[in-house]
Amino acid sequence: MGTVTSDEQVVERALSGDAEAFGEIVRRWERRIFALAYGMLGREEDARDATQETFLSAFRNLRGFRGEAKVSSWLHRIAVNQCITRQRRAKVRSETALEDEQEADGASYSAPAMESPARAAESRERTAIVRRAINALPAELRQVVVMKEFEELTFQEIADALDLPLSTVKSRLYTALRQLQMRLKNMAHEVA
Amino acid sequence: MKEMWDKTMRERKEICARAEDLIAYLYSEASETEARDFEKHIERCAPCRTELAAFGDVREAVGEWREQALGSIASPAFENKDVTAFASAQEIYKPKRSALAAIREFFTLSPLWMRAATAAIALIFCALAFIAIAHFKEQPKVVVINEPNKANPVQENRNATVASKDEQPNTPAIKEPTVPQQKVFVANNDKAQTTRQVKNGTISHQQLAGTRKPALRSNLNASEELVENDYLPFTAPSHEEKLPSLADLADEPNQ
Repeated sequence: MGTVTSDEQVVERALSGDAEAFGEIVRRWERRIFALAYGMLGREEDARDATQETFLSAFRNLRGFRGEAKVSSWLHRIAVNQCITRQRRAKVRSETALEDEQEADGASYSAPAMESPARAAESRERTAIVRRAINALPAELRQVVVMKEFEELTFQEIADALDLPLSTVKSRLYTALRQLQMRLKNMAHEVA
Repeated sequence: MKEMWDKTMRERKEICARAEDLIAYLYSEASETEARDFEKHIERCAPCRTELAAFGDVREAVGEWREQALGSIASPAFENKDVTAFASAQEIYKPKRSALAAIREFFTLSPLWMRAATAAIALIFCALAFIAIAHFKEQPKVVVINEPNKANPVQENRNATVASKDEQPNTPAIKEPTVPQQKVFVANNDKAQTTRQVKNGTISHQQLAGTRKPALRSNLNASEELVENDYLPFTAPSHEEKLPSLADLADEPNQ
């Protein structure tokens, strides 16, 4: 049984010239960073690009990592910044175009094969509403919800990643859930 | 963001102030003691009970979206590519951006306050540059002319008249002020030439004195002429010289 090395140890190996070490970090965190990017951006392609950019940025700035924070917090912070930057760019390019694309993507999600077509359609509709509601949240609230719901990070991990006090993370999450609740209710009424 | 939170908390306080405890309990991050305490609280607090149930529904909906979305996405971002090689390739192909594109990106991505501050600084800089340019343009031009007589225009006119008198004794007196100005340079050229001749020794001081005397004489004649032409109104007219002087009167015997 091999010993499990921590992320920090792997980064140290990468800094000392081990070419394979950073690949290990990518393999450990790729899915979670992708989930975070997907939750924030809402598009698979954008999430993939943001994930690549996150790891590339981490690789380039590896020497700037001082070990004061955990590797996971460091990666999440880079990923959140990448997502915010991409969202601003997309907003400038065309807000409506992006929304249309997201709508189109929403229709392409594959529902489980066992479900009946009616149930699958209903499920697709519900998830589309959720996605729109999350996308409508302010960035500060959205990133907290995604980090909690998509990545299942603890409050402390989110606080470390975003460099926020613990109570601010809780209050933002509370506000986000309240807004989501109201938006979901309103959107469900509109659809009905 | 702060206003949003304050508003939420104001609304919340009207019903119950334990929002953070609710969140910690919802995500199972409350300690055992905190969890038991909150469970006791929700038994008697209907708003907290209602909100806990509503948030549970929201989490369920978000979870459904997450499962559906991430479940349908098979491959992660790098698809088992070597990230080091990928990074190296990215480093090699790094397209150069133009300055305009960089400025555009800065204005696109920076927050509103930073954009406003940059615009204000640029405006102030332009205003200062404009003021500086205007200030330099207003400053009078100082033209140094190696000409001692230039400072006194009356003297210039007089010299010009004298010079013209020397050269053309029969020409009428100059009435236009611009014409003598041109002749100033002629007279001064003569003077310069004379000075050069003295320096070179081609002209003696006696000769020089001889050349000066007519000039003095001609200056007197010119003064009279200027008076006749109203150029020098405060100079005594020449016919006053014919009046007997006080000394002459004293020498004459009493009549």
